[in-house]
Amino acid sequence: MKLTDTEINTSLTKIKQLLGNTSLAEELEMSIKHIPTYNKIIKTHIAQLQNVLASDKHNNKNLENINLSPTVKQLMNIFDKLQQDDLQLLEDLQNIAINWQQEETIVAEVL
Amino acid sequence: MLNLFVTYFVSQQNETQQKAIDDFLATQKQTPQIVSTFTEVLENRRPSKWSQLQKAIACCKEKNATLVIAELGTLTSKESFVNILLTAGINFYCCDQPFVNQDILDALYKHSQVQKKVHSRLIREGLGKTSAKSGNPNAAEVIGKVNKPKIDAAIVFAFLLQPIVAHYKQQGYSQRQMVKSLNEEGFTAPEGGKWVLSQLQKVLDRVKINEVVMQIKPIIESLLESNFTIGNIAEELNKQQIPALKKAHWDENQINKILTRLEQIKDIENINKFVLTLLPVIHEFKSRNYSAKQMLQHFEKHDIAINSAVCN
Repeated sequence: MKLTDTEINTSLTKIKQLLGNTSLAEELEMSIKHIPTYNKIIKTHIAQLQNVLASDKHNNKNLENINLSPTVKQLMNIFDKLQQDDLQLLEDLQNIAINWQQEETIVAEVL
Repeated sequence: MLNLFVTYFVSQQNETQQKAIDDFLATQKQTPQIVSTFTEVLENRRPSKWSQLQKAIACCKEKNATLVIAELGTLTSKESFVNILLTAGINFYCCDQPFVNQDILDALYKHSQVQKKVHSRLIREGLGKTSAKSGNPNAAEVIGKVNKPKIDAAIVFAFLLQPIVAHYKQQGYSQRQMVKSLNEEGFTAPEGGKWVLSQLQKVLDRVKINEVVMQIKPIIESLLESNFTIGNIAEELNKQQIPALKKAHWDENQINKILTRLEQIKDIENINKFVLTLLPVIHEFKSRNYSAKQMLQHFEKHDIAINSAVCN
């Protein structure tokens, strides 16, 4: 889905709010560590839950008509949006972000 | 003349323990006779009263018999077990550690307590060394951070299992029936594979805490806003007759558990919100062929602190 510049700005403002006192590098690090764990433990189980709910024993329910926790819904949304090379990009961003200050300092010293 | 014995097993009797007892009895000059046998069943490996040991001791006193402990193992580190045996005033024999008598048992217990203290000191020192090596004064905190993704995934997993558990409870399933059904229905254990009862019980505990937290979240938040202390929150929940986690009434310990879980859930939701907001942005940047560095420059332009060194 294409974002306009205004939409990007709105999202960046929201990201700033969400970060609070945490830096982008820290939050990226946390996300990079969480996503693979969720991928391993939660993603497969969402599919399994769907199968279990669809059975006669569970009255042919589905993920939409049960009271699923907001955290699980968020993760389903993340799995939908996550593209193949996203984790690599997040790692690259985090690696550069960690050294961001140093780079800036080096530039300042050279100048 | 008969030589009387009372045999005592901890957990299930097994062939090795039985053989040890038989071997011991075979060494007796006078004809041995077992007057009674007691087996202590450990629940969660923590019997608080050692009821079978007490019965065995009572039986020894009544019959003037010697207590034969099939396997003492590491029971010398259990204060309650050692106290009962030391104050019993009876003769006892430990098949796996025949050198143990009253004095040695007392010494072994004291030694195990010293060992525990040394062990705990070594762990603290180890953490200190890790801190010194890494330059991080909060090594313990760092270790907690390393485990955070797994802990968070376990909490989300409990949320995921909740609808199935609710259905099973409606059907009146026991925990064993739940294990059987989960395995039959193809809902695997957290790390994959078949469920076992102890595993399910741990997840059920998390499911329960999650449920209670979601139910009382608004009340807790409003009480915290009104500067209620932990003790006051417990009192208030008891006053409002809100069912406690496990015990009959709320106490500070349970409130602390609830507050910790509340924070954990908030944390999980915040990380998820961050990722959900970030992904469309980086996808758009990618489609515009921005490098990672250019992406970060955009973040910085929006006054976002890139790392803690540049945090305001």
